[in-house]
Amino acid sequence: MLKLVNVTKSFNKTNGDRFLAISNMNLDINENEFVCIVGPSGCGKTTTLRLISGLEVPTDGKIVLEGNEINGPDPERGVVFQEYTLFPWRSVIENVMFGLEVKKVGKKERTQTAKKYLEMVGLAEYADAYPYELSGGMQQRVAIIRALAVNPKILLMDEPFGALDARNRASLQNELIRIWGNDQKTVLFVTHSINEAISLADRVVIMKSRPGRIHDIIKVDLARPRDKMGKVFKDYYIRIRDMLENDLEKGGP
Amino acid sequence: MDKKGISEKIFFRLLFPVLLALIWQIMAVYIDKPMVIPRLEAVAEVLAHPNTKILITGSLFENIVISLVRVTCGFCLAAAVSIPMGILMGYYRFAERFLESTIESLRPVPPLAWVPLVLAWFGIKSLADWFPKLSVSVVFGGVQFSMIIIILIGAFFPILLNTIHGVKSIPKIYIESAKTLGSRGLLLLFKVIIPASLPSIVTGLRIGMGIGWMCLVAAEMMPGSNAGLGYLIWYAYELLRSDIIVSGMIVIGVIGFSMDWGFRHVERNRYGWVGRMK
Repeated sequence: MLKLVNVTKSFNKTNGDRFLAISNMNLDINENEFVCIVGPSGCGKTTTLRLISGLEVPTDGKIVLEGNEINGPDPERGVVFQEYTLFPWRSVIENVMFGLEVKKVGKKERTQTAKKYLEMVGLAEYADAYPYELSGGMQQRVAIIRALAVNPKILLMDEPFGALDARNRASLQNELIRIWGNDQKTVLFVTHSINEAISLADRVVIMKSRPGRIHDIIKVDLARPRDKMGKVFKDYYIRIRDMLENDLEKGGP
Repeated sequence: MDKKGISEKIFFRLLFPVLLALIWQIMAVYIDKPMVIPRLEAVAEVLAHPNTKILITGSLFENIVISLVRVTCGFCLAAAVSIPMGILMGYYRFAERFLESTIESLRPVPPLAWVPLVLAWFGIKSLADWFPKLSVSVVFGGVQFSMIIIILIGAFFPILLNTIHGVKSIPKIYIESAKTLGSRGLLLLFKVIIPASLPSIVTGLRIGMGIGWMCLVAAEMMPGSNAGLGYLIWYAYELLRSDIIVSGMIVIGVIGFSMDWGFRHVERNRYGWVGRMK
């Protein structure tokens, strides 16, 4: 469904040198698949996501979604960022309706859609609240349904729960899996937490740094809901952790 | 808050002005030279009869209306030019590079320094010269271009600078998320850039209105002026009527204060989200 073909991205550093963020990356993501990218900081996982979102343009190679090469941001690829990005001048429901408004969906229909999604994440009573009145976890729930409301083909998530405490994080992970199960979306999820990756993903992409590239891809064969204390879960954890530690020993950051 | 607390606060706010008035009155009685320091009852007499003709100009009320019309015209023109310009300069680096040095060197020039040039360019022409029908109205007959330009110059820079600042301080992540939700071009402008910078623009409007109002007296001193609060003050000065001068000053102060309060009210109530983001 989504294909990265020989994608390379380099940036100009302030001192004039070129910095190779991602080198020759190839990746195939299937329809309805949940894929996580893990890797040390600076391995280019966020850059990969930004390239797919269209906010950055690859230096070389191409990214293809359902046969069409990606060319700039588009609501067919919804993005949820780590930072809180709800528009502070809009109420919660107005935030959820933003993408529909841009698409020129009628007022009645977009209110209905927004309400449906707010109910789905249990925030219907906060429809008229403003983002600053919401906790961090609530804000991220709204950010997720704001991206989903325009019915994207793929949901790109860049450490969306990174700023939350452990309990909130776990409950949002469960909720995300539930939404993903209901809505049958394709999800690409960036995280630095191995635990989070194994809890969520069908496949985990492990990235290495300098230059950023794919080290390995592991299929997680575990029925949901997943038992984080189980032996199989722990085996996956150790396997991925060892890969990442090897990367660090070889002169990572 | 309980009622006693509120009345105590109001009392405290009024305490200083009342003390000031008291000292003024004592001085006025002691010095006993109405041309130098008028007694409060003389000032109150002028303020209490806003519909009575003052000297050969119109009534206090008419003068207030003329001044308000002038300031409103200058202020609206300033906003109409500086807000779009500020958005352009805040969003596009090339626009900023192109205009910044000019703007920054014109900004320190006081509006008063523009008076001779503005007079040379616009003379004493008023709206009534373009629309003769308006000359029957004292108010529109008194709206001279030169005065409007002086007020415009005063109000222009604070609105411009605050608009630029407002646009520049929009977090990049808001614009990026709006783009991933499909908005670009004019939609991005009207749905993100303008609403996100509006609080800062309103602050600019508030400061601009204040400065425009302050430029009023300078504008109404110009030749061709025949009405307005500024004119009233200068005319009263020639006749050494300090009671009228002080009345004019009080009216200018109170109106300026009320307008500022109105803008602050909007800032507080409409933009409660500012500074409260996590």
